[in-house]
Amino acid sequence: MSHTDATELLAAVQGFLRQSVLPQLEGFDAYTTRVAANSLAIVSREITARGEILELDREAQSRWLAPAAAGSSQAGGDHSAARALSLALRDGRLQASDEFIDYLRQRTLRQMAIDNPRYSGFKQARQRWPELAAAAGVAEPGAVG
Amino acid sequence: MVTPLALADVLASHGADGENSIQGLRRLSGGANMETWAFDLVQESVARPLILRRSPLRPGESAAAVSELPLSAEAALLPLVAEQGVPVPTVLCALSESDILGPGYIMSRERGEALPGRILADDRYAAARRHLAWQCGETLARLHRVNPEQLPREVPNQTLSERLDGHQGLLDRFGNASPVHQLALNWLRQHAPPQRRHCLLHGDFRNGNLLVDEQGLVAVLDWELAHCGDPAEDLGYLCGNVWRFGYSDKPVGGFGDYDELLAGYREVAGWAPDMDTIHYWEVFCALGWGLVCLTMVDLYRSGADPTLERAAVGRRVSESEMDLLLLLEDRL
Repeated sequence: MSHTDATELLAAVQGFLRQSVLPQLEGFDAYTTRVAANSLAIVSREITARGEILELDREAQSRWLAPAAAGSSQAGGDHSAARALSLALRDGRLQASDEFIDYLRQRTLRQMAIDNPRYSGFKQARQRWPELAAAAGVAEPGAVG
Repeated sequence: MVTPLALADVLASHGADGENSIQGLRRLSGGANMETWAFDLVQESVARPLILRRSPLRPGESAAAVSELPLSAEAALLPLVAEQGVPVPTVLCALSESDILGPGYIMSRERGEALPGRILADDRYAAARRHLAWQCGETLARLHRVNPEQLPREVPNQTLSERLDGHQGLLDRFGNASPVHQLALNWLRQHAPPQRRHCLLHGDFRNGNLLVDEQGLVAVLDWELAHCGDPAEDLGYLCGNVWRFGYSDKPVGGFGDYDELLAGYREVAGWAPDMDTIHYWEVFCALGWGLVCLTMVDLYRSGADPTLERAAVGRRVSESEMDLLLLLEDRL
């Protein structure tokens, strides 16, 4: 038996907040406790899925930006590929093709699955773009991908 | 600290005569930008239900990314819109920065429900839901009639082009991390509707800021984002998907249809915006929501407001991105 996984610890704290703490609270404190438990759920989902979004961004950067532009992204860090693409759009160096829009849709589907899979727009998007949802690994149960 | 004693002191200094006590003080949930407290002022065994609205930030600490009205200007605005027949709480006293709990103001606490989840789902509001979109249209047309020359000078008054420049400034300031936001801003620049009218807008007229009872709209709350602009903005904003609270098939706030909103507006104003213009402002609303979320992250990171609420709202950026991609399908 190994030690407790990070996601297991997060699940345990969520359970504690929802089952032990929340019933004792009301009003603003109850609301904030729900926000706290939801935030831990986001972290759990992100631990498993984050790398895929960054990989998607890096692929997009090398596909749509010239090497010089790709190399010139400032600051570095996790968001550097998304930032380079945003700046290229802002400065008119990148025109949004259908394929580029599909990348944005797939990226956002993945991010939404981490941040709030219950959001109404997430459901609509999965219904409207089932192939992209399947490619992003977030297809609706029973959807043809 | 908001305590019964501090409130009693403030009210006494603003002319609440004689013995008074503060009862039932509690902070209400639901406002991320502002503290809202409910309490009763009891004088000679008569309880008066009141609300205190105050800023949790010290002056000068606001990120100013979303231009919020000073609370003094908000307090001055309410009587102006009330004159036009817009239902709003009655302001009892304005608290300046030198007051103990200031800046802020105290107003009447109207009866009703403001929680979108209850307004949209409870059977007791079923009849209200049928009228609400029409009432919102009619109410917006009334508030758009306020004479701009009477407005407090702090009410922002920018052209659309200036506001889009401001949005670009925010995207740059927050690190340009979203290609979807940039794509949407480019689209908003290229598709700006002709500006025929310019008037006072509520700026945050949506489910959540509307107090509702079994008959329908009771009061319009939360005026801190009031500004001047195209009247269609207030209508499109009310239809933003983020403010439908899961009921996406009811475009007006999750409770009504476009036709009802526009008919209510037309009844009072004599005209109503077309659907392309409403769509434009829905896009504007979705981008605006993303910028609000990013502003919350900024407030959290800067240490100006290190609360969980701010940090958590920062994870709702992707909702705005999803909505923008849905809205812009086949329009790019």
